Amino acid sequence: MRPPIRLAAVLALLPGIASAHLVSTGFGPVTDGAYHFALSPEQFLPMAAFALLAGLRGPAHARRIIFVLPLAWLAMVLSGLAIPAGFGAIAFLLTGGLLAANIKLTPAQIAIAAIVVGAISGGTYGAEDASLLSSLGSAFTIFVLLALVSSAVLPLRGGWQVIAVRVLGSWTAATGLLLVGWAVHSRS
Amino acid sequence: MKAARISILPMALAIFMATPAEAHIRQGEASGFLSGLAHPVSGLDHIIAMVAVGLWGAQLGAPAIWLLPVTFPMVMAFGGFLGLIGIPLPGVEIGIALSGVLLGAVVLLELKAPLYLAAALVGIFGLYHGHAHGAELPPGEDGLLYSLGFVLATGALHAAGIAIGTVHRWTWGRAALRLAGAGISIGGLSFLVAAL
Repeated sequence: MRPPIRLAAVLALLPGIASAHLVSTGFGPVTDGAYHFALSPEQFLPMAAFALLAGLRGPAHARRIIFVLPLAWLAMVLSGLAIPAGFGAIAFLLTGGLLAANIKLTPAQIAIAAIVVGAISGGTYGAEDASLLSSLGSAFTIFVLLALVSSAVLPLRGGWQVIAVRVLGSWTAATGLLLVGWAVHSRS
Repeated sequence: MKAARISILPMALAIFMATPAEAHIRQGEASGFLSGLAHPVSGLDHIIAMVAVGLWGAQLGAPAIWLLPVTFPMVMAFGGFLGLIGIPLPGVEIGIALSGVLLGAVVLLELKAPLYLAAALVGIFGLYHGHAHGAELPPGEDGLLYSLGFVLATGALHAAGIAIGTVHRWTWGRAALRLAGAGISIGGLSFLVAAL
């Protein structure tokens, strides 16, 4: 058995009960924040899509977003400017749409997009939890998520693998579109 | 490249091995995801049409084989969006049944339509299917997880069609696909009769 398969098999045998989303891990607020973010799909899915986009564009793009996005997110959370949670759908639409279309953004443009995505996500997250230490834990998790996901697609140069990544973008955008519908549906 | 492969496989498995977040305060999320996942596969009329799209994409080859799976979920989600916000679409059931008839027919005939025509045909039918799903949403489910399940199941059906369609490279496979197209068309016809 090849090493990566062996490692994957070991990982698959290890699952435990994911009870950490109580946001009280016993390891302090930083860890609580990290876990809370990691178990909030409305937060990490659009960011993962954005990391895929940056990774497809190359290392210069990926390096920009891994710093800019967590900082924008943190700034928004700490500013206390809360955006209604329903607006989180915009992050899905934006990141998924850009990825599905494989838009060729420059490093400067992707940094601006990272600020927008970070601000939207931070604004919607801030409505839930705005304590400093837990926000730092979440921001660190964002950094790790962006670094891991973007680096995973950096070697891709074309072919079906890039198409598969773009399909993930279309799924993200489709989810965002449905979320907008949900938001309107719940209000009516 | 090797390093990337090493990291991707455990990551993918780690995602699939996740267990329920039982302690989370919000309720109904897991059922929302499962409901969303089950919804596209709950009706044979939806299944045959979505698989037919994949089969046709495989017959058409590049770029249709990759363009259709990228665009179809978005068009379908737009239909779902219209259904959710209450914009009516006339003759939804007839449209869905017709999608089975026509998409089955193009697979049967191995129709080499221009890309824009293929995308338009698939897009229109995707709108009908999405609208039906959007309008039938169960009350009280979690929006995000339901949507995720819904999109994943749709994509999986589409991918299944493409995977089956890869037999197109062999002579017997081409014949089998055309036979499958005939079956889909007949299935669609039965739904059309029921809808009328």
